[in-house]
Amino acid sequence: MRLVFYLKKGWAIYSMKNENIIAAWDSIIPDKTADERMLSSILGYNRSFKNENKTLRMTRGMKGSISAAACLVLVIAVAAFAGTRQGRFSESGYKVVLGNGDSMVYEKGYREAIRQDYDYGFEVRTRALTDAELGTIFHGIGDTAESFGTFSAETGELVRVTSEIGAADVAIARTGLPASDVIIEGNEVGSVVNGIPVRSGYFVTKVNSYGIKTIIFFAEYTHGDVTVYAELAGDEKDAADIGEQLSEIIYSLTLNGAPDLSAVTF
Amino acid sequence: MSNSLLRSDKEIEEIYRRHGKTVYRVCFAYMKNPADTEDAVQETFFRLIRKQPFFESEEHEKAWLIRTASNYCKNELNHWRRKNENIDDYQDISASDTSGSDWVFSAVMGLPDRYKTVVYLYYYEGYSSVEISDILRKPKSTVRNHLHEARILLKERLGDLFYEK
Repeated sequence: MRLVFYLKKGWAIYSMKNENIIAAWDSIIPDKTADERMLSSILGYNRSFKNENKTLRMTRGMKGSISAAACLVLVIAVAAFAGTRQGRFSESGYKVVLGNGDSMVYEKGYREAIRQDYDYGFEVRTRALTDAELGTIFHGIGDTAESFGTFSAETGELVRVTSEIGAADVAIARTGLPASDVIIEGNEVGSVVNGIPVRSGYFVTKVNSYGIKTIIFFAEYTHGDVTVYAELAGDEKDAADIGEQLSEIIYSLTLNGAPDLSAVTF
Repeated sequence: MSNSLLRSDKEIEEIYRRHGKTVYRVCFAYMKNPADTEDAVQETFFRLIRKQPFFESEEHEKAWLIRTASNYCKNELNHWRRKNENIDDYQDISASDTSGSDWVFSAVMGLPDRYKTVVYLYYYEGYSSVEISDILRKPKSTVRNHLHEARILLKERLGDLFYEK
């Protein structure tokens, strides 16, 4: 059964090579009692939900009227909010004016190219970073939970850090090593934030299976002996918010000076 | 496969039978214990009932459930900051035999939360990194990075048990 499934998905080779991983996941199943309990609860919820909706059932026309009214209110609200925004889309890209008067300009990238696989040129080890280590590198910016360091197996030096700040993914690597495995091929415009030159841009994916386009903002800069790469993605309709959020993160990161990876060892 | 908005019990049960185990595994990867996993599975299906999404295919249906389960669990963890990771929590998860794979199981469950779902979708469900980025709505580079770091961890912890070309 599983083999057929994998062959359908076209990755039989991987399934054969990782049967231990598959076995581990296979062991995670609810026992029969729990399975029946969950299904019973779900079906009970479905019945009560349908009963509640019987009294509130509306015709499609009524639903349409209410939806249209809701959309109108939303458009008015967004328009009012947009009037106070500092970020602006234009034909040349997206521009955000930061609190100190610097601006970040994101030009639309045309396509994404995969850089070669992560290749450090030496053996590496990785581990989660402690709060103290995170504080040293990120200076307490945002939520730095789930941060990981990649270290040289031989010297113990920290060579790369990945983390999440807010919803953005951030990677910091010693210059010359890959911070990210992608190169965005486009006309990225150089911005200067807190005196640091920043390459930044955005691109929009094709419509996915949900009918949604994802917009991905990215920014990369070199500061001291490290390269910092950050990206933030979301629904294209939230583009302005996403661009502003990433800009604020870059502003905060550059304001704190060059991250000192040498302060942390394995 | 139903396209109706208000689904019948039979339709809901069919969806549960098709994808219940997948949702359970995704939730367990985050919640780490059967009780919270059950709650998360139920809440995922409650959302299916409330939101009444339209699905074009079973794959679409499955992807929606995976993403919904993943988002729900992440929000729960963010709110409650559950930090009680303990391998003992895994002992009563199932009547299934895990002999021979206990070590691998511990290593996989010991992965950071954000890697576990990606590892599950890639190695178990067989999705490509592009498909995973679509399901989780994460940039492809992020998914590849998570896989890359998860592989380093698994190789460290499992040695020859994690064999991949």
